Amino acid sequence: MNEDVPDQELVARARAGELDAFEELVRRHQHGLYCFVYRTCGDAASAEEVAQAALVKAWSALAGFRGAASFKTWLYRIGANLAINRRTRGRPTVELDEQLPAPEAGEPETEYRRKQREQAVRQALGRLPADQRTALVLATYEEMSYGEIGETMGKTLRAVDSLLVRARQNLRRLLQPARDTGIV
Amino acid sequence: MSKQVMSTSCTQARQMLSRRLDGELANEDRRLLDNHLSGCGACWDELAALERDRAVMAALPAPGQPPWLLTRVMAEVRRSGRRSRRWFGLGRAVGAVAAALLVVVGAGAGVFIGTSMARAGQGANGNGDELTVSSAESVAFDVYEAVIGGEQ
Repeated sequence: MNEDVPDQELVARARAGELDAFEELVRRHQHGLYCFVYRTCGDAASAEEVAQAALVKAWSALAGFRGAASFKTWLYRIGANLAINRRTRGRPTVELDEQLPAPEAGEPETEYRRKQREQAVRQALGRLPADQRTALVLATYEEMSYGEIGETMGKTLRAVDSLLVRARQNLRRLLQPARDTGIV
Repeated sequence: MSKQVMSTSCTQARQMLSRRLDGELANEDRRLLDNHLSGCGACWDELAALERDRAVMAALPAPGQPPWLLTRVMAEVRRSGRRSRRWFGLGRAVGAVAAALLVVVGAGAGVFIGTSMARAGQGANGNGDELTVSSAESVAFDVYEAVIGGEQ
């Protein structure tokens, strides 16, 4: 399918039952959606499950999509709801709580330190409340505007601002031990 | 500048740092914040710390996407499409049977009423030759006659 075809047109065709059009939408947005839910859920198994469920749900709910927001924002909203519900149900995140093993024999020091740093950041992110984490992920990795984050999360601009201020204050506090030990 | 004014100004500035980081500050607010930052080392350090945290976050590598995601999603979508078509087909079949039943029941009821009314008419005038049930129209007419006649 032509990559120049805008999402809006593909959405209209998919709503008319054209599976190829929906497949192209999945192709375009699957990676972004997966990265977003991975960072929100904190582990690969949950992210795979949530991303697949969000895309299938998007297909079944397409008739109700009026196009007020972009398809991406609408899709991420489905993903965010599923991911937040999953996190608030209290499922443990495996990777976030994993302890980094000792460096392997012959592993360069810089490589080990990089792994330590990534682990510390993932753990700090994983300890943020679900809504703060979601807002921070959308702002930092997706570079969404506050308006887009509000649409994705169903929040007002003021609420988004407040979530991000608190998320950043908490992240800073959570990263402090790693900073004190020179990991970050 | 008094301590109170400085403190309030710092509180306001801290609230704006996050929006500045995200490029969400209006020009006027940005100018006010930058004025404050140029004279306040503590708030400047706070902004630098926020920028460091963001850089550390941004440096996390993107996770590799599972290669099967598209295939699995489309397989599920096709299955759900077949399921809904199957239900739609079943619904249509049930609807057709229900409609046929209604026609049969309706026609039966019409014949029954017509016949009953015809009998009632025969009883009333004692002449069955003039009251024949040959069509829905005549049945309806007979019912009308019988009812109106019964009321009179």
